[in-house]
Amino acid sequence: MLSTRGRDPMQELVLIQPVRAAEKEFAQEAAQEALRREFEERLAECGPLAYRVARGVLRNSADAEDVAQEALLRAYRRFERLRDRGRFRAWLVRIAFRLAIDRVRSSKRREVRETLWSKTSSRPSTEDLAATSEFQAHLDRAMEELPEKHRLVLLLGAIKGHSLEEVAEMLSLPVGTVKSRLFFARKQLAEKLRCHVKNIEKR
Amino acid sequence: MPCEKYREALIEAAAVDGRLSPELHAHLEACTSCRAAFVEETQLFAAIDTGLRTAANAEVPPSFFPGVRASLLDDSASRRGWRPFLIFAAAAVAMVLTVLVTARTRHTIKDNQAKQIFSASPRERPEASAREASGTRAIVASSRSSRMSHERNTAPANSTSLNVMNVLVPPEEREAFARFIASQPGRSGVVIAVVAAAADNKDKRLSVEPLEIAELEVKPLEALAGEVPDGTEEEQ
Repeated sequence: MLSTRGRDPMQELVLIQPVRAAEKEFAQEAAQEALRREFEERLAECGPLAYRVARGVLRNSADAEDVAQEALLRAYRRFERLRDRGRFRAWLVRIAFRLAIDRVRSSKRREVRETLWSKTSSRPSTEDLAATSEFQAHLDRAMEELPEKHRLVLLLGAIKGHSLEEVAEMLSLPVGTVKSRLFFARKQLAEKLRCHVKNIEKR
Repeated sequence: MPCEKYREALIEAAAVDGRLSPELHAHLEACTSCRAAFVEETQLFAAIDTGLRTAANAEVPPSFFPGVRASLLDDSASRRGWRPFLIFAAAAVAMVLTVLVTARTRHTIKDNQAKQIFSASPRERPEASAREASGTRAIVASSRSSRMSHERNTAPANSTSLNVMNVLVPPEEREAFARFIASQPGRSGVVIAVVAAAADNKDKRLSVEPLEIAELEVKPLEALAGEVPDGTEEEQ
């Protein structure tokens, strides 16, 4: 049995130190585990949103998956600062949208550089095109021509279960601004699509 | 074709879920073409909304969540894998920086101290000032007038810390040596040549003081005859 009486103070320190280090390590691991669990919850809750935002911009499942994954990875890296639920969702939506827009731009730049025959490779896949109706294809193209701020509002407003208030919260905008952006964005789309609708009806 | 007056109002009404103002409502009841146009616009907006919802609520592919988890794991593993290397690299960089800073500081101190030593008034170093005036950058001082030499004698510890190299150059080669130092690019602030007048000093140091011999006492031999050593007396 160890007795503390007459023990060298340095010896005491040597005996105590590993226990403290182990406790600290254990606490760090527990905190990391809690953080991972919390992120899993957010992933289940907001992962589809990130995917849909990216899909709405890219109109391509594979690219959307890549972009959403990248957005979630970035969110994970700075999760300690984004633990607040509302903040996390807003940040994720913005980063997914931004990454998707960047990808569209870079693929457009690539298209310009590449020869004509390779243009089709950066377009949506044949399956994607086949899955969309003619109107949907026109709608997608019209969406691309809209200003980014209008596109994002339209996308978020169209995702199931998002009220205007929630969209406003995600974008840190007043509800009135979101309403007016939605109104103008839909009007612009209608103007671009009106002639196409008539052409389709005529056939 | 709708009436031009109501055209814009029709589109706006269709855009906001078909809500009609009383005036427009009354006009639509009366005007068939405007009514048809309103129906078309309402259908167009409905198609747009449907299309947007279809695109925005696409099914998340089954590979999505496993893909995200795999990329998170990869990222964590690669970050852990890089951590020791990063720590090592950071330590190495810190060490190199420390060495560089220390070397530079020592170099600067040496340089400053050397400049201080040779910043004596031109009166004290006529040769050096003459060379500066003639465009040479080498600092040459004779041991007679150099403050360096004085400091070496009075404060040896300081001169040791300076780590100055003293070069003894014969008087007839001083000029050539000064030119050589000046020809070394960027060495004027580092190389300090103390051209010592070795011959002058040698004479001084090696000079021997004349021996002082006290006056000799000379006594006559008779006076010494009685002063026989004790042993001799005993024998007699």
